[in-house]
Amino acid sequence: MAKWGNEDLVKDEILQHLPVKSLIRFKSVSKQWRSMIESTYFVRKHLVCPFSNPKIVVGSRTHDDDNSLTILLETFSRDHQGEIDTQISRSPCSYIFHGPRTVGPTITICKVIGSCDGLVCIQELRNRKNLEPSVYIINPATREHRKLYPTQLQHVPDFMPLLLFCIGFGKDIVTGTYKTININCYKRLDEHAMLLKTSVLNLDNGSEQRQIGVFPVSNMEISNEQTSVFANGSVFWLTQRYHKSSSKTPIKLVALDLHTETFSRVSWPSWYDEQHSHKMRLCSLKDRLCLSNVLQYPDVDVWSLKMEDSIEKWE
Amino acid sequence: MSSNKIVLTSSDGESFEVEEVVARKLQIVGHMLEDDCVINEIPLQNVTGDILSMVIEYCKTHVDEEESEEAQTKLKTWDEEFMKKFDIKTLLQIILAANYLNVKGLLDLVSQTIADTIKDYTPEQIREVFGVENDYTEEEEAEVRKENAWAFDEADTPKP
Repeated sequence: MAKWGNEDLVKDEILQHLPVKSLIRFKSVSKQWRSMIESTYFVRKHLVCPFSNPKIVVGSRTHDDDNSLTILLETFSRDHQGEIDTQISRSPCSYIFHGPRTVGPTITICKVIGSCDGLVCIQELRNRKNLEPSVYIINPATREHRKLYPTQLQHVPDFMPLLLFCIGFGKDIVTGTYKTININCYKRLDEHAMLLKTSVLNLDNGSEQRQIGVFPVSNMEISNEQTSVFANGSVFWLTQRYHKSSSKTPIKLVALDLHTETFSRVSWPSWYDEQHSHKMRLCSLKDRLCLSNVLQYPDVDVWSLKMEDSIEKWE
Repeated sequence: MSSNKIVLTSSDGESFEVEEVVARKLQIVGHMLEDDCVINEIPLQNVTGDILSMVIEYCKTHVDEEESEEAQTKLKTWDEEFMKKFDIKTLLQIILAANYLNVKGLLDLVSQTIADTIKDYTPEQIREVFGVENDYTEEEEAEVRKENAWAFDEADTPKP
């Protein structure tokens, strides 16, 4: 039998080449194997290992009863040859969250908020006005899931809390902490004015929540048509086209750096034309923000944002 | 170019005479040569002769790694054929040797080969091959298996 002096080092080498499903199964081998597979160090090492097959999450449906919520998540993945869409394999998978539900029948709609490192962030929206919708984080590869406790709206003098929703999910690329971005919505008691505050929830240590100030754009609506996009340490999103006394406010592109937790506006590329703004879609490719005109298929131009030394350049 | 010969001796006393360029593929040897350049016989305490001969065979083949695509493909094919010769127990001995002798390329190759071999193993098979003692109680093990039941689901494994 071999001498296992450097057992852990060598085991580590082998394990990082294994698919996730095997690793999950091997947690039953022994306590030591389990703690090793679950360790943060190993998880990060496995993450940088390039063999994993990229998957795209496309849709989610839900099913609901009094005591649990089931989220059905379908993932599509390409085969190893990277063939086009006809070759995708489909593996729907359901996640059941147990827990007492609010009384009365509700129709639940789930919206995918964002994804990062293979984790998917989903928010539950109900037809009834709900102050604090639940947010779920799901890892389709390990089938682990976690419900984030509904975050509390903080009290602001002279304002009535209206609702809170999650608008983004991503990772602080400096510390490796995952964060969700929430919008707290308030209504002024005497007028119709609204106040929107943004807060960030740090997922590593649970409930830590910080207010990071008022959303800086005068028109504060977040586009309903499109979810935010995480790329290279920042979450990007588009603001809503806003009709006010028949004057249209231009759609803006906003970024939030998840490390410094500061907002910035990103200027549009030179070719950008306000006329076509409704056709624009954001996406994240190779960890860079990309902008493309998907409705002009098959002539799709993809422009990606290069950020170096805080200089933004579209190419 | 003068090709200096170096003798590598295994733990069970078997000796292999190889060219210096080949021996330097073992980083452990490379470091020794840098420290003192007049060594021509190196004892390797943790490797047996049969395993050392495999490592040397790998190093000889990989001695000049050419950049060209053709050469890379050829090497890859050779690697695959080379790995097919060994059973899992031998592979585990080679990986220990590759780790001790510090041969990065071989370490990666063997890790991948072992991973491909064991990925469909049951936990029982893993315990047997790696000589791992099961320190779970019956209840604990049942609990862990229940938590991760989907990973044992065979029907789910084959992808179209």
